[in-house]
Amino acid sequence: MRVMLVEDSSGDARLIEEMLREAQVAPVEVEQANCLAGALERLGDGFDVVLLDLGLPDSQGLETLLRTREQAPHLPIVVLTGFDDQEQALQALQLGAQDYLIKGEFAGAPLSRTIRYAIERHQTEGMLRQTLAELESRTAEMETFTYSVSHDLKEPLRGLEAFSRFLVEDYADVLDDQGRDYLNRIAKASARLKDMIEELLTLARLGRRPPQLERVNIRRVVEDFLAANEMRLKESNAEALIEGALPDVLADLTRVEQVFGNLIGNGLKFNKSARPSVQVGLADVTGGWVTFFVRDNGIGIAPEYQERIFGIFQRLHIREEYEGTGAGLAIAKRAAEALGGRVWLESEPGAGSTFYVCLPLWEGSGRISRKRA
Amino acid sequence: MNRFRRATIFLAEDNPDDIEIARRAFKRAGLGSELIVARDGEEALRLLADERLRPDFVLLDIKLPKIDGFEVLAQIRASERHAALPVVVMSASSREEDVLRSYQLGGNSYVQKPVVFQEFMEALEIMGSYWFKVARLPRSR
Amino acid sequence: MVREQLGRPVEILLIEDNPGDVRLTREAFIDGKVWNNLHNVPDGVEALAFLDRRGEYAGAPRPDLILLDLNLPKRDGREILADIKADGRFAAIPVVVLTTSRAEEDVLRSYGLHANCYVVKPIDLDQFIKVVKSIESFWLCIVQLPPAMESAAGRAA
Repeated sequence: MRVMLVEDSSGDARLIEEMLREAQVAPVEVEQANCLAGALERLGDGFDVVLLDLGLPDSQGLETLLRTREQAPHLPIVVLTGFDDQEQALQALQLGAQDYLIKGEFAGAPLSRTIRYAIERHQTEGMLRQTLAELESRTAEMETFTYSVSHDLKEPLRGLEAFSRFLVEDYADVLDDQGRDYLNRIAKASARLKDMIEELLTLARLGRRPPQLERVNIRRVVEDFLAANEMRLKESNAEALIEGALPDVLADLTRVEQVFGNLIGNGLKFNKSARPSVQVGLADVTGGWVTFFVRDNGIGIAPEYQERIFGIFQRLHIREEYEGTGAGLAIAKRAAEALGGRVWLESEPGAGSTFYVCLPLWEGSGRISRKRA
Repeated sequence: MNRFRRATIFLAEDNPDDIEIARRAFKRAGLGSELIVARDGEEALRLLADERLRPDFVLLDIKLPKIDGFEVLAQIRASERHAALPVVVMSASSREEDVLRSYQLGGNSYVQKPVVFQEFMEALEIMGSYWFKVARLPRSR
Repeated sequence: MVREQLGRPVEILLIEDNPGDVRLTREAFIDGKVWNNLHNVPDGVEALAFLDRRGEYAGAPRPDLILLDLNLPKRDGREILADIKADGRFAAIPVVVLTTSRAEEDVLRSYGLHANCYVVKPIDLDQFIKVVKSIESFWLCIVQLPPAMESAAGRAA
């Protein structure tokens, strides 16, 4: 194991070197640099780990760490810090150091253990990053594939729909009832195929665009949706209300529109009451996350189906009862998850449904530095 | 209604099904007495250069074999004779890059080919009504 | 409706100085099937400021469609047409010339300057409204309007 020890105090350096040689089972080679410039020059030389004192003659504090990381991103760094500098040490961890050691408080065994673990952890992180990159690339490929296949499928679909229609128009009188029935079924099947392809395209299109995060005013999103669907609301004697104030979120506007559009739309669609009603409001704000609710007085969903309905093309009702491909909720869920959020539901048959949407709260800074919801 | 029926429409389309569908849609929409069809970009340019043919209006698919629709559009706009010929790009694609490029190359409008015949017909009716009853077309040369 | 939903109103810029025509056009578009915002400027100088987002137009949206009268004060509409189509940022935005002149020369010249379409304004009120509705039906319901250049570049993969 080759260790680069960046320490300007030769007394401290000698102590550390001795500790390492005593404690190590395997051979250790320690090279010392007493200033940052000297260290940076030699970092490319096949080292396994860097022991870095942050206070050097030519660089102070976290700047030292940052410059070292910049120069050698592939090397794990263990920071050596003084007794009073614990806060700085913690910050060093946040900035990418694998660990820190307080001078005067460690001996040989913990020192070499710390170094070993630092190296291992660094390797694991590297593998994780690589796996993530592969996963993202595979997902992107799949989405591009879904998009272009769905798109290409439209062409033969056009022929299918048109020519079956021409048959009905020109030759219906030559056919018997059975023949006309078959033709009708073909027409209906191609209409369904068209809807499914369009939903697939929507889903794939959602994934293709990387999220553009910005401050989103949820009230505005809901109001715009209701304005755009004014006719539809009037026709079904429906009402939609926003209850109270809705905080802004940090999200991608298009995806948020997808989520709320689908949930509100579903609340109005799967609804048998004389006055269908949907309310949107705030359920909770905790720890940087906002939870909204979308409540309807619709037909409700039995508990045994509540998980399934988020799957793509899952339908709970026969076609004759409610139109739709069943992709709306899958789209909503996917859109919310792409933002780090969640969608879930509470419902009982006959008692309406309440969908919950959890999204990151807009906190003014725009940074996402929190765990997934 | 007369100009509607009398107009000579130039259709550049490679898919024979789509040609058949377009023919029927034109007829049902009462649009165009004469239909010139080019099945690929080369044929399109050749027919457009033919002095005996005088199209009033072009429906152009981007996806054409041999010479693609964008190139055909560029050459139409570069030509002396057809520089002002109205061209509506009609394509299966809804990709933004394709839409933008069509307008940048001088396409008058971009219409996405509808999947459902009824919509296709309605689109042609609106298109025909707009271009032949409402709009003024430059005289064909 | 053929084209894909934008998820936002279609932004229309009407370059027209006659208040009566502006009012009629506005009414016809408000009544329309597609969600839209009609912005009016009274002449070509204001129009270019609107496109450039200068001064009072700092927050102006990029128009998806432009309706242009040729007879404008300050600068002639034909010049404005040429300017818009010469500017790489706006050249792709469809410009429908909506004007009183029936002269073949004006028609040819406008198409020559790359106007997307030329429509003669009827004198009759009812006809005027019908014409604007036809413009709405075609350009807003059937046509795919071009995206802004930046957004299309971001999507090109």
